Amino acid sequence: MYKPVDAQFQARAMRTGTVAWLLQRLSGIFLTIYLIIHIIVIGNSVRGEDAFDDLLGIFENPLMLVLDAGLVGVVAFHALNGIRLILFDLAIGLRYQKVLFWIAFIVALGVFIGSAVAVRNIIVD
Amino acid sequence: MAQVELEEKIREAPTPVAGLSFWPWFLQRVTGGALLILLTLHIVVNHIFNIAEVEDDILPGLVIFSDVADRFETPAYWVIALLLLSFALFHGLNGIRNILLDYGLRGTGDKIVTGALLGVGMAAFTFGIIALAAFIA
Repeated sequence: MYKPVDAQFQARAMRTGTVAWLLQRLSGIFLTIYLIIHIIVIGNSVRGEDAFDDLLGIFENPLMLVLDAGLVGVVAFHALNGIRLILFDLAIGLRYQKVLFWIAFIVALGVFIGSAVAVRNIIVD
Repeated sequence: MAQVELEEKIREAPTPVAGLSFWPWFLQRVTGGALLILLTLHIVVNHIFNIAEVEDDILPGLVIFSDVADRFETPAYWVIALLLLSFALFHGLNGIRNILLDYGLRGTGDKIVTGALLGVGMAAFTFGIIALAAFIA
């Protein structure tokens, strides 16, 4: 009697839905911080063409390019899981919430691998 | 026993946000859907295309001032850039507020946080416009 009722409040039991919720939140915070940094970096355009090109050149080393591929993967996950959440708001697919999470996760992983292959070609060049 | 604990937990849970709660919820979804399309365009056009151009030695680097400036001669890129800037800032900062609301932020605290996030958003938006304008200066 006690357990099934209380289980509704056990958000910290890491089931699929909780993992999805947590990843959406963490990726959202991360992407917002990245957005602010991105605006500041691109804001170096006010310092002129040479200063801008010099600064942006820093981001062409292999480590940064791999991190870029990771960033695209995180964006893809946040976007696809976001679609999942919009569907739930419309009362669509609630029954398939676990499968939909895994679809979002695996497709995002595919986007990351695709991006990694794209940047790999640059690094190997 | 279980019923008493359940009722206690419901009482401790944050009360729903009063007043304007529809629009932030609605706009979070609208900007989210739009960002999916806009960011795909942004990443493919600005980065995937440039990777190909660097490989073919058409471009000297992945992000080049003159390349961005060339793109901004097409008005459609301005529309995309301004939508990206405003939608991404709203979506990110409103998302931060949503998280804080989940932790029970209400009343005066909410007003302070909303004001601060609005300030950050307006400042970043203004800075973004100045940064974009520098490409056509």
